[in-house]
Amino acid sequence: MSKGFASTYRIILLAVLVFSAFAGLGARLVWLHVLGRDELLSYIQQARAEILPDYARRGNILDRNAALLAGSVPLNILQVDPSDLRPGDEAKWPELARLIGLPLPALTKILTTKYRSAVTAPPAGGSASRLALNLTGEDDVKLGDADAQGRRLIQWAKLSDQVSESTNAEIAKLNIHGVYSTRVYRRAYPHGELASHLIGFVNQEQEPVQGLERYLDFYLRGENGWKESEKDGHQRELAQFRSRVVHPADGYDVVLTIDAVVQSIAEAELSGIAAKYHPAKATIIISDPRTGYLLALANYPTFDPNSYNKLTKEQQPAMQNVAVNSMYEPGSVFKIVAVAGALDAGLITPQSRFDCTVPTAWYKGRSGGRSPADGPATWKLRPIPKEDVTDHFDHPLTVAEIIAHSSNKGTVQIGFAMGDDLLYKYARAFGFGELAGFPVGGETPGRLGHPGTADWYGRFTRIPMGQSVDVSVLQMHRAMSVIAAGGNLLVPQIVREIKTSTGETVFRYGPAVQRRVISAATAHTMAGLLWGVVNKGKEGSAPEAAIAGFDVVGKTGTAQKVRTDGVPGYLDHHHVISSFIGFFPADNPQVDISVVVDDADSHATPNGTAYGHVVAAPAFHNIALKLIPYLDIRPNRLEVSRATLAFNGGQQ
Amino acid sequence: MNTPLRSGFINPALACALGFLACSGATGVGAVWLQHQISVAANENKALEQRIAAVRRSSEQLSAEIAFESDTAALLQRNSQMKLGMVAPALDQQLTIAEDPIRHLSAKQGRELFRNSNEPFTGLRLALGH
Repeated sequence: MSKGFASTYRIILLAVLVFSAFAGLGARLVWLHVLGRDELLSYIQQARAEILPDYARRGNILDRNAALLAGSVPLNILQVDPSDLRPGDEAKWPELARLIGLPLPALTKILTTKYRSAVTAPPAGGSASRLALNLTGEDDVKLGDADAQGRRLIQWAKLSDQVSESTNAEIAKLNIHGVYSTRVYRRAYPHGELASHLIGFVNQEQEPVQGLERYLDFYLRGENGWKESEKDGHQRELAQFRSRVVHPADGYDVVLTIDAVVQSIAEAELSGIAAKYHPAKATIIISDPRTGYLLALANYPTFDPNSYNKLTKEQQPAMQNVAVNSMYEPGSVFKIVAVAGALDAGLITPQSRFDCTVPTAWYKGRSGGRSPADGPATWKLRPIPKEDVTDHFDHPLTVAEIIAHSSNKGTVQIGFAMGDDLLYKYARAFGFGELAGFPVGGETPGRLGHPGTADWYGRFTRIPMGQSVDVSVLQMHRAMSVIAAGGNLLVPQIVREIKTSTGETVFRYGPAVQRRVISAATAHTMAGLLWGVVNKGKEGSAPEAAIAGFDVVGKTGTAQKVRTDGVPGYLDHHHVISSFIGFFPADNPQVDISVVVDDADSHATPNGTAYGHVVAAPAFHNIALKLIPYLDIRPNRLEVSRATLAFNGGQQ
Repeated sequence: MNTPLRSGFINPALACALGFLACSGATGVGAVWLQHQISVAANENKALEQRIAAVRRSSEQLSAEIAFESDTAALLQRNSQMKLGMVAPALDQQLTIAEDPIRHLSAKQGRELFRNSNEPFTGLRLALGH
């Protein structure tokens, strides 16, 4: 190297350049890290930082045998950005159409429609095709701002919102540019209408609307998690920059006391009743009287929670849980209250006799059935042929006979013997006029009246025979369960357990006694009296409910419907509420079954009136026959049958 | 003329400088490698999470499909479609017993076996195995 090249001037120049370069770098660093720090940081955070939500899974609703009644199903919403499609992918469209079950012309039209006019009328009527819905529904398409020509760019259009994981994987393999999917959880009710009034449903936004879905939302919902992270220029997460991860807490599973098989038996029986008698509504409740656990609660009409939004306005009443929110006059089945109360108070015994041919009975100056203000103080009962027949007795009836024949006159005299205060006390103790604490369905307390009110005596003279008192089916069911449960009023239970998604029990609901209503001895006596209703042949009012080998206990009810047109009084005997409520086996009750049918078609009955023993008792019988093998209910009477002979090799 | 003192001064300095550069370089490379490994591990974790989530979704979907297929109405429809003719037993076809049915039926079969035999029962001869 010559000295001339490495002159002092050049060395100084080089040093200045190098120094300037370093000084420039230093200045830039100061600018970036000190002066412009806040602005740049916010820009970077906007560009790179992201919060990724991690959605919690809503808990399942299970029956008592862990059968899934409501669950969250992972689905994919398949969407397309029509502007982002590539011509080279057109050959894959037929396969895509096949996978999502959409006709190829319809799919082609969605994929090739890039704009939509700013004002487009929604499709008219039900003839709108899936295609039309996809292009005009607010939820099925996202539009950009209108351009100068008044057109709005379709940013994305929904192809399907029911794509399964496996189908989604196949679609991903097609690798069609512009077609992408979003994973979501959707609530599914695998058994459709089964127990829909209990389970309820969540809406499209996954918000609970009614039933247990709403009542137990706190447990079912869970807590969403999230990840604080960064993303690259392709919007992909840079996992190494995750700064915080909060895992989602999945919702708890809820185990019901309901048994899906028992529920389906009840609903099948209701369907049979509906097909034969065309009632306005009907309810079946099945429970275990020893625990208060409901095994089934079915209403007619009903609905499918999977398609709740397809119900018309006229069909929407089907969503009401009429077993708990609808009131009715129970009729004769309410007689168990007066008789059990009088027995428990020691006022009567099963052998006590009452003259059931008397035209009038008096209580504090008023006659049974009507007050002096209503007219002549004569006994006037409903002109029911059965009552006319049983009205002519050659001897005073015992209490057992009053129950077996369902004598109105006899029961009213028993009620008079109790007095209005005591009858009211026992009616309240049986759970009437108060809420049972049932969590779903908008429970009604019913209407019992109260001593001291203006219309009380008018009510009291009718209450013993089940008139002038409004109850829900659930209340009447509980009242019968008091006798089955040895005199205790149990809290009706619908939820058995709350569990984590890993199966650990969080809370377990056990049987809960609300109060003792009658003594165990009285309950036993009542069961014996009600046994006569079913098992005394023609002397009882419901031999249709009898089952060979089993002591069935129950009571019928046939109540004329109250007029709803503003005119006081009742409709004719073609419009009645038929019921049968009972349990079996008598000595060890395992199931309590209530069947209540509102306004069955009387023309479909042999006698022109839909009596409880004609409409409801056979349904009780049919249900019981199916429950015996399923619940392994043992007979309490050994009867020799063909099966016995075969089993024993021809020997008894 | 030898200059051992000067050479002795420069060589250690050069060696230190080179050593320092090597250490700095190694530390830098190590830090980059570590960052890369963190990135790789994070991406592997992410992939595993996605696989677990996919398996879980698949499992949940399968459970739902099983639930849909085991609905009573669906089973009855399948029974009808496939003409299986399965019906619930009538009450008179059922027998509830208190004893073990297998023992009972075995005993009954044994009784019938001996009843059908024409030869008189003369006792049992047991042979011990070797």
